[in-house]
Amino acid sequence: MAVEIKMPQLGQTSDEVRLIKWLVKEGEEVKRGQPLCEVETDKVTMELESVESGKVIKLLAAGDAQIKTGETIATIQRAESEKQGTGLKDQDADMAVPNKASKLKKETADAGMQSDTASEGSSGQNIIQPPPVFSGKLETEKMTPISLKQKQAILSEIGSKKAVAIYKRMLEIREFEERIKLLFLEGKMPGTIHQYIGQEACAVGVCAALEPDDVIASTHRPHGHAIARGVGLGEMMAELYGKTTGCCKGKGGSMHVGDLGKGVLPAIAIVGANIPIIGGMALAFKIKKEPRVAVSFFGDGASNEGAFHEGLNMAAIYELPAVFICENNLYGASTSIKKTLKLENIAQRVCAYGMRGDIGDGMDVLDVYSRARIALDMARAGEGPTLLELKTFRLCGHSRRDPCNYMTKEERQQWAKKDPILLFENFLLSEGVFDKNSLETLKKEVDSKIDAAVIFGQTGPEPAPEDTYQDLYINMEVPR
Amino acid sequence: MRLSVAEALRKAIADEMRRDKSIFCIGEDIAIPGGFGGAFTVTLGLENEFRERMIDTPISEIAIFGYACGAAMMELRPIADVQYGDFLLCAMDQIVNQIAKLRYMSGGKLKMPLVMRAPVGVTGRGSQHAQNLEPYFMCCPGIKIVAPATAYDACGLLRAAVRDDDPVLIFEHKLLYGSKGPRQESGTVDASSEIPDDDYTVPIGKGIIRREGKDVTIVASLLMMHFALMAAQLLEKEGISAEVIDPRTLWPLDIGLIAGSVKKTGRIAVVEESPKQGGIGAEICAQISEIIPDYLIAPFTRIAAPNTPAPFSPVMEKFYIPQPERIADEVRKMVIV
Repeated sequence: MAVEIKMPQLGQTSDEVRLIKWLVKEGEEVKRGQPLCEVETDKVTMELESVESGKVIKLLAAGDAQIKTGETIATIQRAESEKQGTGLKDQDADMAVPNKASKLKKETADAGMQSDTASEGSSGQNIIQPPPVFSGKLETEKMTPISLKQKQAILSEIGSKKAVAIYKRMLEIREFEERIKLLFLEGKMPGTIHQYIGQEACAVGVCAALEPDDVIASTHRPHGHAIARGVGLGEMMAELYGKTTGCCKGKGGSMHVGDLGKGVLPAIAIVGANIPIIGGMALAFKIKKEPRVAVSFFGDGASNEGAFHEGLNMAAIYELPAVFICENNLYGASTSIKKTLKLENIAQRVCAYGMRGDIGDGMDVLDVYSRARIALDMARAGEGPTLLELKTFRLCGHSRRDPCNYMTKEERQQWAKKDPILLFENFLLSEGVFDKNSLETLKKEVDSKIDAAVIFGQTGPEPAPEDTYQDLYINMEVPR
Repeated sequence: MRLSVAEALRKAIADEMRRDKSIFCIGEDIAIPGGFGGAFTVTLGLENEFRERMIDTPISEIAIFGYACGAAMMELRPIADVQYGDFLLCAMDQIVNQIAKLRYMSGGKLKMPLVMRAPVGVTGRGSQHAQNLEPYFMCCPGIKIVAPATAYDACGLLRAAVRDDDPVLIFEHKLLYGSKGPRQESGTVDASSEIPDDDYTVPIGKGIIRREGKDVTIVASLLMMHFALMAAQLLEKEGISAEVIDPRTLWPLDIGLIAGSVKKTGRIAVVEESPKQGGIGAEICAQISEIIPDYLIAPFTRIAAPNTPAPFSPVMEKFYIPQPERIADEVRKMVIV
């Protein structure tokens, strides 16, 4: 099937883009995501990536020319493997977060995010020591990355099935984000997006350590957390398209994806605001004596909000079953953390609350998993909350079309070497958990799941305009 | 049994907490033995019966409302309390962006059964502990707002609010509480009522005609309702018959009740203790003008505080709050042309 490649809307102001030069030739095989040409808007010069894999049939625009957005610039014969997948199945049975409550005890689960081991209570006890309560010493703490030996021990504890499930979930997030980036550039998706590329180990590492009844809350950058916790890719995609089949029926959009039925609060896009809400959920668990934990994900920027201070302090004084995950990606939008924080680590702030703090490698999913597991186990056992800071990096812009001109190329390249998916992939290959062939198969599976999700999202029904009036109050019509 | 507003609210909270184990109170100084029972004694002594469900907090309004929001989504029914309504502004993000919107943002998938209690009233404390905040929340879809002027309504509306599955904000007036002991207020107006033994509720969204009349409709809630009744008595001596409506719920407004009255009288005056700009009167008068323009035989009148913060000086404060005499003057001008 021939697919038309159109010039996307790239700037906020201009509807014209200059095509500087083509980077591919007619007849050439291209992969989705491969740069097709160099373009220049009124603000920035960038490479335009292909939204399809296949053979370039024709280049319809000349190099060094002004092109109107929406104009077809090339046609590509879509490769066979790129055919949209059949049927929609958002989550493999393996990956589905089990619904049966396993409560305090770790039960044996066949597969998936549930632990493979039947160990009780605080498994992983000797792999990493529980972090201490920071006791007012404010000298610089350092992150101690886990060793290869520790990683091997964690792998053997969780089992290979779960390890693969973790890898796959990270890949799903990455592919979901890569795909919607292209859909955005194509101008096919409404709204705005804040992407999670590069931080996948944080969401998946923590969510892999959760019990089925635990609850999480996310931020304006929520796709990764929702997918990690098991919100379906199809209903996620449909939500991004504003369809009634979306996880919030089109009322939420990208910044508010979630489904409380699956343990994911619709994401809270006000920086820091989910912290007291998660505290309240944990308070409810404590009042009701339920062995559940509430987990808040937020970024480094949130730690400068009043809600962070009030929320953490109260969680500490009530000794609540809550875990606060600070994904420190070093930038609040475009502002470096060096300009907004005098301390080396955000985790040091727990000194102010008498709370446990820990620092993990947010690019290493096993490091994240093991530290989160300890924090969760302690919270569940009534030992109070933990602030777990994860050092990470977004390998993408803050929001759509952000060219990251506030970062140096070297910094980005340095962090790209720590790509959490490559890191884990190489570890699993070297440990013989999968080989290159099964990896390829797995990648294709993920790809076709994303294909199916895109179709589900694009073909879902639009809401009626008057649906605006629905879903506000439970037992009352909106007064008009 | 005759109870003050504070006692009636306390009775409603205690009755509801006995009936439903999922209800808990959270706020500053609400259940400290030897303390005040909140700023105006409403929760006084409840810790003796409900220690586990009376959560005393640090002075952290963001956290009070954020925690209440989270707990409400986990099948509890919090009653969150601020000492003075003015402090709601510290928690504005949690109330307006989170509590009011989360059900909507979820596509109607979650519930937010949450009660927020806030004392209001211009009462000798200057600009930051003595203002009426009703209009700040009347423009916020997703929250129901009630404002009881009597002990009977306070008990019945609080029960209804606690049983409602949507967030309800209850404004209570400092001069109507009838708080006793060291928390007694000067200038108090008696709003006590006989409280029946039965488990009655006052439905949210239903106003009440406090006084029947045929020449003009005066709409007023909380303290202003009492002042409107006093004004109506003054006017009666002059042969002007004023109908006084207490909306009791400020959102959703019982606009049908008000419109029915205005159809009869042809005139409407709305009294409020908050500034005139963007106020309760603006909303009610606009709605009446939209739905029954042909019935108005005189322009509507808004009787409100000046468009300034509340001043401290007793002289200025008295000028600031619409007094019964001022209400009567304004209404007289509508009737006698």
